[in-house]
Amino acid sequence: MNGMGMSMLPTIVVDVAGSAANILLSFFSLWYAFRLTRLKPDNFLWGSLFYVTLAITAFALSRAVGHILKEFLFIAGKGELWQPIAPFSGGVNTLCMISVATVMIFYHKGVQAYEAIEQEAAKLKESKRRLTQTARELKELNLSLEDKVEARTAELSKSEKKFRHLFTASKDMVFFTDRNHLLLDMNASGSEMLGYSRHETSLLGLRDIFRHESDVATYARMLEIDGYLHDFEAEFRRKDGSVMYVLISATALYDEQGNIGGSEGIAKDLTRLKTMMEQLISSEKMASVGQMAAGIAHEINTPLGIIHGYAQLMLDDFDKDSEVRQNLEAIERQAQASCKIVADLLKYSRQTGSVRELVDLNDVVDDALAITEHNLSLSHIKVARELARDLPPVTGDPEKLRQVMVNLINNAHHAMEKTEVGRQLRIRTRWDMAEGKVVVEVQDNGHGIPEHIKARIFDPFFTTKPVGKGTGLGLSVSYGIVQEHGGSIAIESPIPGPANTLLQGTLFRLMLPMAMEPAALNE
Amino acid sequence: MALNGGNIIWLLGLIGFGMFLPSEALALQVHGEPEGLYVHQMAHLFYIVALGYFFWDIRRIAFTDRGWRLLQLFCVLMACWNLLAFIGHLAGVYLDPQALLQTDCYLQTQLLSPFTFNKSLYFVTKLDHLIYVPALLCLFLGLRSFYRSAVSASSGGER
Repeated sequence: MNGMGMSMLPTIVVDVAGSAANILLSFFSLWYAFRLTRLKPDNFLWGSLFYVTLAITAFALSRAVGHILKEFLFIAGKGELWQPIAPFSGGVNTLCMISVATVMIFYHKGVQAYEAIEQEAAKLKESKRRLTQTARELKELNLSLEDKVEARTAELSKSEKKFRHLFTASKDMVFFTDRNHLLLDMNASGSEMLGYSRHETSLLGLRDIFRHESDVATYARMLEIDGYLHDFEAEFRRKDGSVMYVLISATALYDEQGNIGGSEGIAKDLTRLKTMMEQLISSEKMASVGQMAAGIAHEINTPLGIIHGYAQLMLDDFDKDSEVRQNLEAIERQAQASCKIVADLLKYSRQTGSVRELVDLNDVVDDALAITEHNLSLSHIKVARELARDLPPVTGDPEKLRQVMVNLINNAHHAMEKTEVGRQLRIRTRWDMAEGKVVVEVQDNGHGIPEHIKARIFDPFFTTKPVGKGTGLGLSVSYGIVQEHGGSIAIESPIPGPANTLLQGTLFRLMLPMAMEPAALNE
Repeated sequence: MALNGGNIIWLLGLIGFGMFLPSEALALQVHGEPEGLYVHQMAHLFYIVALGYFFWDIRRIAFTDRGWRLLQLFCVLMACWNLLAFIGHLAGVYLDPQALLQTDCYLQTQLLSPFTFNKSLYFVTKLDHLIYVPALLCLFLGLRSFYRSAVSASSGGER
């Protein structure tokens, strides 16, 4: 720069050098853009970018060539030559600029289309991958399907076998019902408990086996409310009409709609347990009654003895035919009867003394039959003795045991009074080695004992005989004696016979513990 | 409006009237000298808009590779150059032809004082390649970066 103005040389240098650089850079750029399209011919992005770069290069080339030409023409002093070229150069530059701008704007639309295609391609690719995966899995599944089916079948068979065994081998009743409480299936134990055949149980419903209709309603209601029932006590009616006490646990079975479609249940037979409980209660009751009876007997024994004694003394003071003597004889007779009742009561309440010695129950049976045989033969009762040989002795009071046997025989005698023909008394002795007990069974074929009075027959003063024929103390006294000897009495009426038959009559089973070895006894 | 038979006859009639009764008002429009400059300036503005659009599109797609960053820089520099060129053209138009003095040769051309704002602007805008060259350099570097990435992706995996 001098004092007159500023040199334009820097602008000329920058213009020429810059134009040259632009040509080089734009060509290099185009080269890389081209290489990109060659590298990935199917990539739309690089293809579009190539056209953008091509337009930029065209513009840069057009402009740079024009600028260099202009500058060199002016430097060469031939600036007038540039004048006709300038409008063309400017026009081409303008066209190139518009082209670049247009390509750039369309590039955007192209990219959008490319994105959409890429997304679709990605989806297709993913779908193809999944299809391939599924096809592979299907192929594998197909190949191993047979093995899997076989293995699964084996597992199911094993499982079914296990549960089938549980179902069949269970000693409790297992049953399945439909929604109307009709039995779909019941295990063999259940059929056996009820006394039906398997075929017959398939025709039954809960209403046929529940003794009370209300229990069926309760069963259904509890299943509906809770979906299960636990330890539900109920009574079943066997085929023969007898009652069975059961404890039921059951679960509702639901169909696909969630409605109750049936039930599955297990019923445990509690009849034996219930009988034992009743006997225990009875035993407790009799103990109480015994204590009371002992107190009464003890108190009235003395006055009765005095009445009896004075009546006997006064008999000597009157003539045989006098009315007073007859009255006194009546007093003496009734006082004696009362004394016997009191004596029985005392025996029942174990207030009387007793001895302890080794007793052979076969001898006791023989003695009792010797006492009662005459009366039995008068009633045309045939006696069958089945006495076991080498029966071990028991420890006890032979007199009292004889009394028990007489009571049982008399009881059987009375039970057979209404039996028209074939009256038979069977007495059997045996040794239950497993229990360590000696057993005596007295069986008759009389009218039997109704179910509802079984629990009461050992109660004091309980009798079914007409007034004056029995005091109701015989079995009570016998029960007390047996208890005193550490034994027990069981009743079966009707009597289970061979091949699940039931025989009419009653069987009293007397069980007494066998005596210890003599050596131990002596000690 | 759909062209029916009547409309076509009217249109042909109008054209015929123009052809056979020429006058100045009905002749083809004359393109005067400033039109070239205006078109060129409009092209610069269009170029700026397109570059802005391109820049926005790269941001929208959220490409973050080095190549795309350089391409964005290219857009910015090129838009600046367009603006500078636009101003330069205007400064050239308004520059008094007497302000430039060529003595012995073209290389000794001088911008005469006093230096007004327009003269200064004219001088500065004549140095536009100082922006244009870096812009193209960015384009070149960006494309080279794309290429190298694509090559490494081809050997290692898809981009």
